[in-house]
Amino acid sequence: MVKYVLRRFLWMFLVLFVISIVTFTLMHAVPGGPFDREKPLPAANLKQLNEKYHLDDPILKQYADYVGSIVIPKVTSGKQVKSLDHDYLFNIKLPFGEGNPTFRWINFGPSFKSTSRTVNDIFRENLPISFQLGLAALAVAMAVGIPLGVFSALKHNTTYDYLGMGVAILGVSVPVIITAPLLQYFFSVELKWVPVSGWGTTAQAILPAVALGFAQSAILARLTRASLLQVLGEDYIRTARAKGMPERVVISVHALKNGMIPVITILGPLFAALVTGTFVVETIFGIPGMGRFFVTSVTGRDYPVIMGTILLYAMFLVLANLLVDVAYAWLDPRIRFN
Amino acid sequence: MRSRNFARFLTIAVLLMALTAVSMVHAQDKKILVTGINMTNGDPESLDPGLSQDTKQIQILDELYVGLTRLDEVSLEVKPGLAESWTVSDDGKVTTFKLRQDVPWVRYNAETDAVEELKDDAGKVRMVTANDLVYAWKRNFDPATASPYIYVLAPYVAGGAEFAGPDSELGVKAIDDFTVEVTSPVTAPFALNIYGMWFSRPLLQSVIDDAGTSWTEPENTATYGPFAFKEWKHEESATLIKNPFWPGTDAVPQPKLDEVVIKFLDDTTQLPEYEAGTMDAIEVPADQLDRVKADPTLSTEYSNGVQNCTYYYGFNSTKAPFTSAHMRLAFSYAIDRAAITDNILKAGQIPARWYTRPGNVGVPTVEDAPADFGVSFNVDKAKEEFAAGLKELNLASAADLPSITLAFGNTPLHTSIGQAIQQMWKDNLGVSVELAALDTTTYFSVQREDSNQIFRAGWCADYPDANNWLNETMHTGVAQNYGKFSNPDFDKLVEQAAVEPDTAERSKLYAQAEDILVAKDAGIAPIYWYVTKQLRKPNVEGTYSVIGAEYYEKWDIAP
Repeated sequence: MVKYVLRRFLWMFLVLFVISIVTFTLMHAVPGGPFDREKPLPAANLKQLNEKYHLDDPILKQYADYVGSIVIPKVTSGKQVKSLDHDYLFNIKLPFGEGNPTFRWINFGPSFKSTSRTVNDIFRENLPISFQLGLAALAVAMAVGIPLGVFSALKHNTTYDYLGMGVAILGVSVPVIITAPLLQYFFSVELKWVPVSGWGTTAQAILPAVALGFAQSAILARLTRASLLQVLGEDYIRTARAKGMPERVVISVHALKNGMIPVITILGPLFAALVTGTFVVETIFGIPGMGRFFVTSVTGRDYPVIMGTILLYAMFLVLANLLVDVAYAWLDPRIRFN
Repeated sequence: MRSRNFARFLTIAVLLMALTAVSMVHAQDKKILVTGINMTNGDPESLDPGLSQDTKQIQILDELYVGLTRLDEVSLEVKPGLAESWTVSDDGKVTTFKLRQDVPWVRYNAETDAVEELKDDAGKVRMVTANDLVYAWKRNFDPATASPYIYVLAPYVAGGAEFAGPDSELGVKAIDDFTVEVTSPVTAPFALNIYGMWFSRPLLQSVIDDAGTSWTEPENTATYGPFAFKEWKHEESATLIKNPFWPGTDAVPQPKLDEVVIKFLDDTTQLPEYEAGTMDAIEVPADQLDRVKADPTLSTEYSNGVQNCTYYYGFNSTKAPFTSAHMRLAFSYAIDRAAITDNILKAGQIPARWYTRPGNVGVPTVEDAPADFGVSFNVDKAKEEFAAGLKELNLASAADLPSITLAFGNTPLHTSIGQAIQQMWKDNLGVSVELAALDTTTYFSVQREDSNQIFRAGWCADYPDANNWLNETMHTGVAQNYGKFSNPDFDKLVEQAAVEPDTAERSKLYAQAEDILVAKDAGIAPIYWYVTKQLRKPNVEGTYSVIGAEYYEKWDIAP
């Protein structure tokens, strides 16, 4: 088990490495650069900016520098003034040596658009917000979706089933760009129960979490229903019932546990997608999360932010899938890591 | 004994309650304006005056720093700002500014919840001095700073264009602590505007040296304008707080508001906030205009103002068939501008007959201009010019034209307008034009390198003078001139107007230049002039700025 997890961990670095090459190549292949804008800059200015951000270096050197600044730790001494080129996720003051030596590691570089912020600033300030919102939305999705799916499966082919699945279909097919403003107008403008937008209080988190969670709960509900129906037809369920086990135990211990495997499979990527931020919901509810950076960095050709956000998402995805695989073993005793 | 204790308890309780009441009244008394004007779509990219370039940034910088001169946001007059007076030498090239001596550098202190004056090492209040201005100019011109906008100042200060680093000479000098002398290689009547713009404002070197790139954060910064910087929640909001140390002048009075909370919300979110009563002034999203105008309450709070921008189509004059001026003019005449402003835009935008938005110095107003000045929708003339164009290109009919592409950045607005005009060209000229909707950044990079035959563009004035439009964006070889429009007569006129001191004389020259640009040589087809679309609560009092930044020191909230 430990060996398996370790191996998967090492694989992750290879995956991230490959993704970084592909992303780097793609983003430089797209026409336009970070300084192309409505009011064009004179050539001399463009040259200054390209020099400032080292965009005039050969492309291979740019890539090597980028990876180097993330992977290779540095020890710097003297006054640690934050600059766009030097902003590290880890800053550990060393207990020995002269002149304030500090161990610094992982530098994702500056944002080309925001002249005073770095990609690490974005991770530090905006990622936690998206993470909280993502977890809240995931909780809503699971709290609504899984019971709905179980209920529909148990009341298979009854009005309750159709009703439950009707709600699920609605959730899947109405995009959040519609539900979010509707929720906003109804609960914030008309009823004034919760604030329209912003982040920081529980009240502010309710609507975005519901808007985001509801759409996902629909997927979970359908998946739970289908998987549970299948499991209920299995031999071991018949065996359990035949030996006189109470129906409640049959469902909750034997059926549900195995029925969760496909649900857990989708929860992994869903978790990664939700906690790294969602553009539409964050924009509509004015939440200062990560979501918009996934979009604006690409449209604005903000290279380090593109790289940073994609690598972050990839890392979450790989880790979430690893957790899913570990969860399989727990849910289904037949699965072993050897 | 007990009764005495009780009396003591009662006294303290009453005192406490009174104190709470006072502080509550005090808190309620605070005038806090929550606004989203000029602020849609995310965090300002920078609040470093040297590195700023767009509306969001300038809106905030105009409150934190005051230029040597201050542009009146309604009348567009150049008024005294940080400089209380100035003299210009006889040859018009040397301007000497007398700075106010009562403006200290300040910073908001979160612990004391107050704006505080900054002190120097000797404990004396650090005033804004001539040297701070000289430092800022040299820093912003330094290639290491890579200021994106300082090129606007460069032609009007000696050594600006050649400035290579800290050791270079620059035509700005501190005569004494409060006197600055600026030497320009050319005479330019509008340079007074430029000397007051955001990249020309004083900066405090010590904070920039100390805090590196995070010096613009409220806890590190140093400002001196009518408002100080209280809080910057990235991607969320910026809060400005009244600076009690700003002396208050005719042009830049002491603020009546205690705080201005500027929200960086999408306009689609600003409207529900406004309707819920949590924002006082907002921009109206274009797709909600019909609803706002139909709403009994909102419609009374809605207003249009001038926005100093022009929407136009450019022609690439090096690509067939637009090598022919007749052909360019034909396409321009064939655009029914009023149909676009009435049916697509619907917010009171004005069909543009020429390039420079009326209201700028040196430009005719719609009322004053002769009826036939500029260009407007005219099918007969369009057909006439089209025939002349075909002849000039030696083509027998429209069928012999090469395929023509109109390119624009892929937004709903540009697409709607593009489709409408495509139909107009089809109806009025019988020409089928292909539309190319490109990703916005791709679009700009394509236009910069080699523009399409017809392309969408726009310009918003940096300072309200025809020079900023005609000379800086349409002269042969300048960056914004994507279509490579080049006309020697036009160039001569705008160069001459740039150094002409007399405004009436300049206006005549610019009128001739406009005539060449939109009619005679038709380098571009102007389409419409922008307007602002705002909602303000009835108790909000304030001016309506036409310069793209509101001056909140002139705003108030009625009780």
